[in-house]
Amino acid sequence: MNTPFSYPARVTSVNQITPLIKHFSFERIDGKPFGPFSAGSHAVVGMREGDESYKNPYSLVGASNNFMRYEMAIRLESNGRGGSLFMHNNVKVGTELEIGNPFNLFPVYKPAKKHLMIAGGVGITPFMAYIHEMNLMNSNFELHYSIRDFEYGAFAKELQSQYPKQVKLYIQADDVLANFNKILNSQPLGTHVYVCGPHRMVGDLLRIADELGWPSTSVHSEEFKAPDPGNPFTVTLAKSHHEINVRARESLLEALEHANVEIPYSCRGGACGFCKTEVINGDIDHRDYYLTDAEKASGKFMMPCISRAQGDHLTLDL
Amino acid sequence: MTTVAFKQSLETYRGDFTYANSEKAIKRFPFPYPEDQYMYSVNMEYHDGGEPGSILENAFDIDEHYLSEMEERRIVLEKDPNRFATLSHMDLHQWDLLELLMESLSRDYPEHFSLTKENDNWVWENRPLDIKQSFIFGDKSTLPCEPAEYITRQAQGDFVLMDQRDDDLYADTAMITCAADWSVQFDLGMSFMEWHAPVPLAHGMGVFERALKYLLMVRLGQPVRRLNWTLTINSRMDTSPEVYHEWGHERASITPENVGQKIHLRVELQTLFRLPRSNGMLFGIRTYLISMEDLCKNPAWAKRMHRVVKTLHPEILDYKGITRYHKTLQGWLSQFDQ
Repeated sequence: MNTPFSYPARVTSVNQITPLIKHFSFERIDGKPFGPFSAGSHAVVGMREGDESYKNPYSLVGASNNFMRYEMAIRLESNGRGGSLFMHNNVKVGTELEIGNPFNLFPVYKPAKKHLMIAGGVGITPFMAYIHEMNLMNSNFELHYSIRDFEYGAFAKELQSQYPKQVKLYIQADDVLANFNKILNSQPLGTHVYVCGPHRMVGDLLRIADELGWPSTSVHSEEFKAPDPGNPFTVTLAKSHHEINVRARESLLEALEHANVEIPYSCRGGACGFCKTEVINGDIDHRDYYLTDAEKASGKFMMPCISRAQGDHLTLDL
Repeated sequence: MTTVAFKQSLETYRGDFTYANSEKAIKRFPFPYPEDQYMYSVNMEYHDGGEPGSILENAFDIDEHYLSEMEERRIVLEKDPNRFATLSHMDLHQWDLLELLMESLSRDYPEHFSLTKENDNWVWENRPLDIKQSFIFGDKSTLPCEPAEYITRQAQGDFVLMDQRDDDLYADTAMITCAADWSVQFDLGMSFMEWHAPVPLAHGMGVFERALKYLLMVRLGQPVRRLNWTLTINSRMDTSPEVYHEWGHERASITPENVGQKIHLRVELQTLFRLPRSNGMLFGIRTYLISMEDLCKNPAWAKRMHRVVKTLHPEILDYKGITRYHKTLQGWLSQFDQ
């Protein structure tokens, strides 16, 4: 009865919506609908080509035709490790991929009196689903969207024309910058703020909200952090007596998957907690947002999707 | 597909207590003890089906008591409409629940229930209760009451909708007419820890921290379940604090002669489903009652029941309201464990 963790799917449309962002839609190969999802959810796209395989999480921007199709907007990360390059260069209408069950690490705070969204660049993607829900629920919302240039702003045109009162665009090329201090200072009680965008922008927003005395429970952020490369290292699996090499450009989770060691996962960016793994030996370079400081200090756990060995070897309880 | 026959003459869960289990119902009763001694644990597993005919076969179990239990719910709500309660931010959760129940029941019991959809125009048919309802999914004004109330008046068991926020689960909507001594009006809006605060011993064992962490990560399409239990005098479904004056005194009515008929093991099949549109959780509490007499027709159950009752921690005896008749029950059960 449990639905599978992911569905074989095929691409039904690809549109270049900005010079760096392509909009994709997918449908299940078995012809069934994917089903509803909550605003802020992501799904993992599984790609495979020859020996290479990638699993990248992307926000669901919407669905069409009664959830028959899921939609994503994906930015080309030319310095990335290959997933978005693959999506941009190799994926066409008809390409077959795997789409994981949605999981939400950036949900709408339902009891909020007002929803204030702060987006930067491709960080607009979760808010496309947010706005759909806000409309459906008749919620009070406001979106402040910073983009490099008008043509680089995904969905900018339609957002501006559909919601002229609620949406404010900030175009860097025209020297118009969002003033977070001013935006946060003029909000009514009961407002929740959500921020998604580049690392620096998220950091600025969080810092200013804190300085202005916003309760941390009213401030929500999402940053998709792709695993940074690091030094290669080896891993011993204590239970199965395996030795695995982790290359510089791959994550420990990917290396385990390539060796057919299945570990639960969702965000693949150190936030959701699914892949938490016990470490028996070796120093860990913790890079996640999930483990508590005490867990990190204990050296007994790590998140293999993003964290690595400090030295050249780890022993895992797998 | 499951074929279920309902008892057509209504049984009562109050007054003359005509509720009774058939041989088939006794056989499929969820006996809850994996060991001879009981202690709290995070006893959760995937709710991914079970043996054909068992209570675990389908997402939501419907059994021979369906018509009677729905009538009991109607009676409770008529006396006290506040047994259904919802907070204003729970609309999406309510539609999630309605969709989940309608889809599951029509899929698993097609001879009794059917659902047809044309975009947002839905038609729901519940043949046992003689209901045919056309409505617009998402538009409350097209239903006779709140969506969650509407559908849970047609499904056995209690239902709580939890909103997930601040890394916690809040009990923000509930249909509770067969509570094992807890009040929906008192607990509405509580966080997971607040809601479970009265449970003895388990907090110190870290059971609820672990359970909450586990529940926050329950995924779409991968529901989980556990069993919980208590004892109830008579086949009374509504043992809520609101009507304590109706049932509290019954604990004093137990004698060695009436243990077998009066004391019932009350087992809750608790299920937890991630809800797709709201990202909330459904907490389903499906209650099964069996008299000691019927339970002890199974020698293995009778023997284990004796050992569990004999070794229960005093704080659990108090919490579950057993203390007063504990010795009488234990004495009666000992005949099966010689």
